[in-house]
Amino acid sequence: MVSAGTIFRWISEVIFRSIFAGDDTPFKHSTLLINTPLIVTQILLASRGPTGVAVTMVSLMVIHLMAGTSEALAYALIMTSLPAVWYFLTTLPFTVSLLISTVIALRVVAVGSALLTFIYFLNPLELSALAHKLGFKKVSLYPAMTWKVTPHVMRDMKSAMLSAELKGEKLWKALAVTILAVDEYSSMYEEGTYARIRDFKPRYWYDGKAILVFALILAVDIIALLLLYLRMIPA
Amino acid sequence: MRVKIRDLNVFFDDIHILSNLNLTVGEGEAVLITGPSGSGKTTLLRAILGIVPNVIPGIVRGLIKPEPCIVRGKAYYVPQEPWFSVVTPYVWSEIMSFTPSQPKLRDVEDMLSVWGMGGYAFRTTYTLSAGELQRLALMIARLSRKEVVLLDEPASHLDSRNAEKAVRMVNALRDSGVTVIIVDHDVKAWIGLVDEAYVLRNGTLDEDVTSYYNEFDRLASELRRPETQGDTVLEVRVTKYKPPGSRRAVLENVEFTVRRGEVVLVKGPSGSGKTTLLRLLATSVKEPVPGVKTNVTGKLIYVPDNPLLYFTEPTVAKEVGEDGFRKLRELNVTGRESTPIARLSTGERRRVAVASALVRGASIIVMDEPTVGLDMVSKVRVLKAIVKAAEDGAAFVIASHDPLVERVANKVVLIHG
Repeated sequence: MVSAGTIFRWISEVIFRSIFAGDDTPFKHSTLLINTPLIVTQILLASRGPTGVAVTMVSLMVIHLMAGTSEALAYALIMTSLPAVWYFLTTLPFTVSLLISTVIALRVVAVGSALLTFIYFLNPLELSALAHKLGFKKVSLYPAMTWKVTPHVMRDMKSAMLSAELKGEKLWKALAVTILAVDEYSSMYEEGTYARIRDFKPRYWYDGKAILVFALILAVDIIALLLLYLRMIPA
Repeated sequence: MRVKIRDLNVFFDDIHILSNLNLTVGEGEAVLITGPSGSGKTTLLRAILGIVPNVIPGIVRGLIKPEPCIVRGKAYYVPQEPWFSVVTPYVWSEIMSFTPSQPKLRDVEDMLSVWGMGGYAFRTTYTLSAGELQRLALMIARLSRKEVVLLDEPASHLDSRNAEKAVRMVNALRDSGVTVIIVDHDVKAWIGLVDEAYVLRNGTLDEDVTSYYNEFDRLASELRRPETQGDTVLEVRVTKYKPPGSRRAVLENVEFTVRRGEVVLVKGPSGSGKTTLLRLLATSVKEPVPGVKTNVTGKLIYVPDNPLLYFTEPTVAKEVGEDGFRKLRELNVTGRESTPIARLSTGERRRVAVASALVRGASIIVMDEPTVGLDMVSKVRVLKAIVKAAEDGAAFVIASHDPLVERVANKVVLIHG
């Protein structure tokens, strides 16, 4: 029988792999000036209907294939398929149509995958560098730190659950330990940065190829959205 | 910068940690502070910087000159737990954002190569091992251009080659006029380098370091391997394992068996995949792991490198149960039964985790660095308890850099990464 711990670890692993897995790549050095309008366009596209969903999904595939991160997309699809199934089942009694409920579920997959892809390629150092340049020096470390601390806590949560399960203890006890650990980690990280937080000067650089690829995808998505709004292609 | 401390007293609640402590460290001098676990070595560093009372509540009385708020801006501090010494997501971002020279990316690669971390610039820092994090923190300490460097057990997770590099790095810092204060249990590693060495006992500093580590040699000589081994209880075969999102295999062709009553040491350079191997081994008991095959007879218990993650009860007494009280005394943990786990020091947590693992009747106990951060007496006691449990029929798989663990190991599995 599959234990609650196994399910919990599997879910946290899927979240982890769809957002944080993998090293820094040139594709994570695009710019928010392109990636933000891209995610807005993709959400609008996906909400227009099956054609928009298809365009969004193809865009996401192109990005991940070019970046060599198709594994992250695969896990994003797995992750978004969970709420999609939920939406499918809960809307079915109201729509009384397999087709309509399937389209709703596909929209959830497309919007969810687009959001996860946006987060995956978001470089926290760009946010830190922007905050620093805008004069928010005291908070500029936080975006970078979030991308370090979150996977650290998630990994430790998995270790705590595994240890508890092997000891034959209840899962909630491991979660209680994780909460205790998170509380302790905040003061440990504060200690770790205490003497050097004022030295933090975030550095970031942009990658021309990444910017070009994301800009082209944005252009294609905007054109597709316009054609959909103008009803020049079927929704 | 000269650091002068006079009549320093530090209290946590009613506990008097440091008592009328005096210390002077001249500019360009290096001193070593050693002493038993829980004696207040880390507290001393925290008081010098002002972490106590500004981050960790406590009462500090006495003279610290320059004042902690001034030292804070001129000091670089490497904390005891390497996981908290690095705070940005990538290796390049940690180096480039925290060094005043603002190095270029290719310079970062060169610096990393010196510490055996060539090709690591784009690695995510949460995937680094404790030893790799320590090397990264030391590298930035060297580049920081600070006047004072405070190091809390800076080589505890390093293999001997990298530990030597750490010693050379501190030497270079001192030669360039930086004041260095090192807290460490490993006296022999630093004694030839430092200008002064002290033992912190009962809240004050004692200069008699020689007798302190001679006692360690005597205790260490008492260690021996478990004598009788039984049937095989664990078979491990890792064909190839790649971490999530990674293109490189961390472990490849690792194969070993463990018999009842046997202590198996997993050894290798820091970052070679020892912790990953132990984690995979434990995970494979519960669910299939691609590339990893294990055959386990009986109950397996896993104690991670951060002992906090092992606990499932709020207090020491509840965690070890009545059967564990004797084990706690064997491991040099006394009078802490009713203490909440959250209030224990790292060294105490490690020993309580070992005690808890030993009293649960497991046939296989998997431990990651069970002696890190322990003083010499506690280390020897932990290892003796492991040998005793092995002779009572338990099998152990232990990942460690500690040469003492090798003294009790029946078998060594070498991992090259």
